[in-house]
Amino acid sequence: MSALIEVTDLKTYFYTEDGVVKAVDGVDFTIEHEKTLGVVGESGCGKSQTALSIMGLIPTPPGKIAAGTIKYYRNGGQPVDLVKLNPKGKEYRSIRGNEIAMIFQEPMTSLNPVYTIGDQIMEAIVLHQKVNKKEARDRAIKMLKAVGISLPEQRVDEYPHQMSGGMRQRVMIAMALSCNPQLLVADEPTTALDVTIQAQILELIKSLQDEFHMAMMMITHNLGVIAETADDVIVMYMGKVVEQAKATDIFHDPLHPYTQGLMESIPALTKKKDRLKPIKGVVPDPYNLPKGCPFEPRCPHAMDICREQMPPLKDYKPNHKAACWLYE
Amino acid sequence: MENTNGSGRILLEVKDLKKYFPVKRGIFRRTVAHVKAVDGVSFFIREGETLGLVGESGCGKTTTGRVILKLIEPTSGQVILSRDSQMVDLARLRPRQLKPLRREMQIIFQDPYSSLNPRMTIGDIIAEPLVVHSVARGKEREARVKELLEAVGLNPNYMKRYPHEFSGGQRQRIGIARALALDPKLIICDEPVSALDVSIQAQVINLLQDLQKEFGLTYLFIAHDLSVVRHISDRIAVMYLGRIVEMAETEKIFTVPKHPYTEALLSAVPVPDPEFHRERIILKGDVPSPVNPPSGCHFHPRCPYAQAICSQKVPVLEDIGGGHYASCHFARELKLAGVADFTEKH
Repeated sequence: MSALIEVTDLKTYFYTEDGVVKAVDGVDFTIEHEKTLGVVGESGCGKSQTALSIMGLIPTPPGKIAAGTIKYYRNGGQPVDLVKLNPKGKEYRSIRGNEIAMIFQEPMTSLNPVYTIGDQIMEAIVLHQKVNKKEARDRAIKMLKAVGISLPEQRVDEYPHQMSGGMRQRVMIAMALSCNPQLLVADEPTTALDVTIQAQILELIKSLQDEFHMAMMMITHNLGVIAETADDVIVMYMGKVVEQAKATDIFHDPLHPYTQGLMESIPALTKKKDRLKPIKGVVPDPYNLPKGCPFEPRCPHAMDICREQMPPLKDYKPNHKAACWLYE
Repeated sequence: MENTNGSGRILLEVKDLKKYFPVKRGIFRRTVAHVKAVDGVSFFIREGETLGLVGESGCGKTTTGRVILKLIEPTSGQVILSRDSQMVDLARLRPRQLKPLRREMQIIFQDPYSSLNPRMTIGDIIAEPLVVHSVARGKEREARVKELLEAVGLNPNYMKRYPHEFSGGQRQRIGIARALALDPKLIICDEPVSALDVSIQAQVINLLQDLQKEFGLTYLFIAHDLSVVRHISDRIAVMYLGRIVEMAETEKIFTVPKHPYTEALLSAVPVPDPEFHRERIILKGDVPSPVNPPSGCHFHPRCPYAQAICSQKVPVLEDIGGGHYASCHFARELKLAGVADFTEKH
């Protein structure tokens, strides 16, 4: 499979009065056509900022993409470096929402309460596709049907408050997919939902991905959701990728002590553990990061070199990268 | 046996508890309907054990916790607390009679950001229950606060600091210290780890377990995360739309569920193993409105096994053997899948 998006050494910094926050600090990854990249990490690790960097939605100021490239292979042709495009310019706008679409965590707040859901889906279609209003409306109804909303001809004229959380997330998905994107960026799409509704939405996303032949970037802190959806996984900690591999390798043979710690700290559904093994300590202050590896203060295997120098992200097994001095 | 907690003596018994919130409309604020948040809930908790209360948002689990503490007045029903081998029905007590009993029952809230007053130092926050109940003063009070901070794994010198100086996990520890201040018997943990990152969740869960052993605490653990509930609970009650649909020992709930809703919940949880495959039961539709719940069994419109009787008759929560309670007309006949049945790798 060929690459759809190649991110190289991406650095997204926020310049605040209290100092510089390196939200994304030298991130590399590739998303292939029709594949799903899972991005795991805890709050503040930079996973959402990575997504917003691809979308060209970093609030500037205070934020800024300080370095790196995001190569997007448009229609299988020559790559476009999204970092070099003006986020408000014509070319970016023809990509954003059209070829690369995003769904957000909060289905309650991401929809505009004063427009009908039909209007909101049609807005994207009319903007990006050369169709008239009638066709756009038909398309919106078709999309609502595709995401499993019953009576789409009636519900297209309803307002967001008339729908439940799960329904609104379906509307968000319908909106994102209405222009048949190449890449869907899903930022915690099921976190705000109950488990039985989460199961519905995950099944829906997976079947639509097959149907529409799109690639996906699935961002979540839930390891279960990653295991169910991702082909490849990157694990992020304090703005850096600390491990990258196929999903099975991440779960069955995690290399980085942070990934290992995450796996050990979660209680299992299928068997009872005697005692959980938490990761000690707390995440470091983002204004005042350790000089070496950011995980060093919490790492059970920390060595002298870890305090001094950030380890490089390197292959230590076939197609399995980690950033850790343990394997040097 | 894995479930070693619990002496067998019943500490709290809830009988047919109901809480209906009125829905008011029009200029005369007439009551036009009721939200049946808790609709006839009965259960008991033994001394020293952890009862997990699970269910999805809006099922009434939080309201149940608050009604037990009388933070919300119950509409009807009994909340019986055993105190010095005397049984007291909290639902009938007046506020003044209730106050001494409040020392026995405390609560830990879900959101460690909004449940601590940002204008109080953490020393004052933890000391407040001691002040309200005039338990200790002066040097003695300060010593008690230090002792509590140490018990929850925080540095006693943090007393003079304010909540904003702490992370989510540390704030949750402060909330736990406050709950422990009066040496309670029962603590209602209302989603105590849901707002925390996974690596911090484990720290707080371990702390709660250690404190339970050390102080002989009894927990009502309210949560929606089934893995967490499995880890910490001796027994589990599953709620759906204001009613308990199943209640049994933890292992039984997970291995031989007797209610179709429990089976669907178990199958819905994503498992962190990419090679793990199973037949997933996808429930149709959303949870119905508690203002106008379905007739008969509340779960029947979404139940894959529903038959004619389910929409007509309300099933009773009854013991179907060995303390395994289920409220389903077909609880004895259905062969439902537990987690062991879908752990097989294909």
